[in-house]
Amino acid sequence: MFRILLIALLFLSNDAFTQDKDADEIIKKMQTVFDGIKDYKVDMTISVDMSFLKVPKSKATLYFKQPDKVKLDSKGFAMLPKEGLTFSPGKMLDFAYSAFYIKEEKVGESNTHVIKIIPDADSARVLLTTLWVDSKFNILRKIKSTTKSAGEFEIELTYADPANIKLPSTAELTFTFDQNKIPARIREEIQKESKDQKNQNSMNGKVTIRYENYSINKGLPDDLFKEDQ
Amino acid sequence: MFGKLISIELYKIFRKWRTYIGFIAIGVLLPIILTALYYEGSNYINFSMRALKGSFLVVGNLLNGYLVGYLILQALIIHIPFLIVLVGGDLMAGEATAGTYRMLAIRPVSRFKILTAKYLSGIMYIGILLLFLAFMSIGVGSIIFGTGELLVYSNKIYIFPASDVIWRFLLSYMFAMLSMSTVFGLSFLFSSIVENAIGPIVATMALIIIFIILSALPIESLAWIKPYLFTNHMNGWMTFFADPVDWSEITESALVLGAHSVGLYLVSLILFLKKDILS
Amino acid sequence: MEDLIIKVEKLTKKFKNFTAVDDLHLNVHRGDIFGFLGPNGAGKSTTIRMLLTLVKPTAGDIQIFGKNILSSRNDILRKIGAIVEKPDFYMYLSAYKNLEILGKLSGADTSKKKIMEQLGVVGLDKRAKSKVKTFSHGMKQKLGLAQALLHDPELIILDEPTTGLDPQGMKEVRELIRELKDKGKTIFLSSHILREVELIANRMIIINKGKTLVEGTVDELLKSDTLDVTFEFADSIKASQIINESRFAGMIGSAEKNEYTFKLLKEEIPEANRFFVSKDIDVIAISPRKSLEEYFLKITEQQ
Repeated sequence: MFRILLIALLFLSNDAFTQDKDADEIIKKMQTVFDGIKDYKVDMTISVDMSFLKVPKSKATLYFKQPDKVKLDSKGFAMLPKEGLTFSPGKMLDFAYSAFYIKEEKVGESNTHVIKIIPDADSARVLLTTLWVDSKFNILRKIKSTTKSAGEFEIELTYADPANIKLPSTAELTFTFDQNKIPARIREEIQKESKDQKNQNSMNGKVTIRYENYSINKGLPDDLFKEDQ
Repeated sequence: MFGKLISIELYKIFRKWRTYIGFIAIGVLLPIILTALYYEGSNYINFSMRALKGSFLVVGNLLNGYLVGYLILQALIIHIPFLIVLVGGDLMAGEATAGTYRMLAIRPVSRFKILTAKYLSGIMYIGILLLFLAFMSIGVGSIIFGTGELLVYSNKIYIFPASDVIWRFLLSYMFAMLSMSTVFGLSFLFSSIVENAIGPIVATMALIIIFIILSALPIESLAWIKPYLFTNHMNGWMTFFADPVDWSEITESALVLGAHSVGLYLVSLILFLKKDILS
Repeated sequence: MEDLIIKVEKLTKKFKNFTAVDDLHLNVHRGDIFGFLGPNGAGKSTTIRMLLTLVKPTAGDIQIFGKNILSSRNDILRKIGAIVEKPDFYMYLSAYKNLEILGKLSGADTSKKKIMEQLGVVGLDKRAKSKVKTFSHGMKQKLGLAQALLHDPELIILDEPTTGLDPQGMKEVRELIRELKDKGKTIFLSSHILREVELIANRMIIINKGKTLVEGTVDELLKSDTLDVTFEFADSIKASQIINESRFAGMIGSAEKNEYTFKLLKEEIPEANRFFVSKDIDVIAISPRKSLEEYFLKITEQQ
């Protein structure tokens, strides 16, 4: 009931305040831009900052091929959040949804369209997603999402050369971590610590990724993706 | 002269069957553990990483020689004392039982030197035993599993870069050396009092077990005693596998263990210097 | 002073309520074979342990080579070779290795040649590689001698060195001790068998319950003493008649079959023998025997 009300409200606001901006159109444009990238390979430097986890800065190589082939390759240990891994809007919005244009907003120096996404079905893993789409380059600047399983997460992307490379040079991912998924022993330890330090955000996590050496549309062979996901 | 004494003591230690019990125990146990880890090790890692795998894509081989070395150190370090007292409890008492005390003590070598040489030889034995443990666990482990980042699952989940691991092992083993020296010192003291090796061995083992139980009991009224139990400081090596390393805690533990070790040596020395050798 | 090798004054050792050695004095001169006699438990072993710094005296002073044993311990011990009680070794090591280890600690020449030579002296060279745990007591005793002599000490302290040896072994040890004396060594020999001391020592002391009973040269001490001398006669009937009529009748200690034991002074033995021969009694054997126990009793009675 509440949801219907909310949707109705958003429709109302959509009609009332937007200047002919169509959310679906913006998403489509963004998807088109991304579809221009048939495949890519990029070197990443990943820093993870989580209270219960100490991981060294790791280097890894990400391979992507449309529509959804992904491979993470690393000499050593590397971990990468599954959310927003490939920046594929199709992958992020792989459920039936309704999109609503909210407003324009500045993210950093760039002007963006703010779009809210509400899934149509209860079964979707996402409850609500907000997208900030660069109005000039039609690329994603920021995404904020509330998921059923992983709590909230937010990804902020920066682009070194958005005119030519439609893929980010840095990504900053902040998220909350479901306490129940942390082993009990560690959970106790963290709760003890956060009590000591009056730090209530200790269950938050942050992952910063730097992307370098993009090699786009060089034709990655399919069997590159064979061994693992 | 002193070097000669130590080489003689080491020779005697390594000509005794009991000395090899520790090496045999490690030599038999570790291949079994290594084999088990070879087949089951990934389960351990999956268990530790379960929390992460839902939200993260994880790559890299965490089942490596370093992890093996860490797991084995964690599992065995509690039991190494029982191997060490076999030698420590025998060092002095064994000579009394055999009657060779008087053969030694009528030589133109001071009792201070005799005892000190024995003590240091015992410490060297511990060093050799721990080196053997390190070789069998980290060394052989690295040959079988390779090296890489070290996954430590303690109060947090730590993943240490491979380059950040060796010094932690080095310091841990040095710390373990200090812990074991304290255990050894205790058995050595008992050994210098009595004339039969069984007593010191059993007494030291019993004392360690009692201390460990007292350390582990979650009873408030006994909490005050814990800082005074040297066994409570023996796990200090684990602190090296945290980030940041709590240096003040380690220093405190090291000082407590070091003081015990030196104290036990000094008491043994005083007793031996005063002792009438009647065996 | 230089000629006094061991000088013990007022030496006393108390263990709790028990006094093991009580105000003991003794002097051992260079070149002596010094007999240190006393029954078991007399305090011999405790005294030897004090000489070798195994046990600390409660009171008194020990000077060896003119130096105090406590202040010049290592200098003194370097020149002493000793067996204290039964010789014990590292059972799990060979005879050779035991000698090598003990020799090194004494600062001896531990070359293979020297060790094998020393093992040869005591007849153990063929068992050099055998572990000591396979040795008989007699062999350990011999190895004990070898370790005491390896570093060529000036003073040799031997505590009951013939215990466990067969008669041949005992004889060999006595010969070895005489050889050592000939080389100018001083020997301190403890024993509870008077005979053993009498055979080789030139000076002796007898102690009991930690106290000195007598001290002096062996000749002096044993000269005026009566011996139990057993005569074995061919014809006991004839002998008994003659003896009963003679002055020796009053000296009979015991008579059994054709063996008569008389209490005689040493110089009376040839006289008695001449008497029996002159009376045409065939003497088959004469064996003098002196027991330390009796000697102690006598000395104790005298005191």
